[in-house]
Amino acid sequence: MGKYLDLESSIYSIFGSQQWKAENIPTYPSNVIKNDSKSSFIRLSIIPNSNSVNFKSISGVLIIDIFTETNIGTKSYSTIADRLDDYLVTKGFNKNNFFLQFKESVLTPMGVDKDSASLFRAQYTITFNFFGVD
Amino acid sequence: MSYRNLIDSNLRIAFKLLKDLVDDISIVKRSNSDFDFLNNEITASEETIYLKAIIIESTNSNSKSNSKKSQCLIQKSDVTTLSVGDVFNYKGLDYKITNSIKDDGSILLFDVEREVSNG
Repeated sequence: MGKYLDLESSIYSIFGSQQWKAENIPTYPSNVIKNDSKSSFIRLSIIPNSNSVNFKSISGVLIIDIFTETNIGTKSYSTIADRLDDYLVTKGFNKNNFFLQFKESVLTPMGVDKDSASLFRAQYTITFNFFGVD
Repeated sequence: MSYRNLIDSNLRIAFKLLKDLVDDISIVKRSNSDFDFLNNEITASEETIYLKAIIIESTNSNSKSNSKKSQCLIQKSDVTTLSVGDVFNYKGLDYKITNSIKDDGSILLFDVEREVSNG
């Protein structure tokens, strides 16, 4: 695989793990239309936006949109962000010939979702370095 | 007979009277979808429904895209619900239902779109 699929596979393996599934937080990647009625879920967007040490390495940002019900306060999205921190912040993941290293996270409340007023969106952002063997 | 049943019944008669203005179509509805992160694919159950539809108008591509959009009308009792992303098959071609589904309780009016060749 190329570095983008390798990166995607590395990040997706975290959210495909039994441990994450046990958290019971519905998780979707970008370009998947959710067709259930869950009002609390997250959506991942991987943004590999900067070069790194070699052709097979890249750094970037993992943006996770956290959707919760509107008009219930901030606790629900902060709780999900804390769970994400447990899995991601400063964590390193080895897979095949690759190493994925996450750094610090930031949580930004974005307000009522522009596509659905029944949802509130907060944005969890964490930077990463992805190292591949050249 | 309730008003709802009366409307549905009259709609069915109207669809019959329209004869060749009504087309046979199918809709593939995806439900219970989940994403399998380990295999990087959607897992979902699919159901195909065959029904009658009226294609109200079609718009061809503009300068920024090469797609064909159509507006369709169906009886709600034939399908109950539709979701954005469901697949609409008309004359052997697959269209995606886009984000405009109007529901007046008896009729569903929605847009479908597909990429077309410009040859």
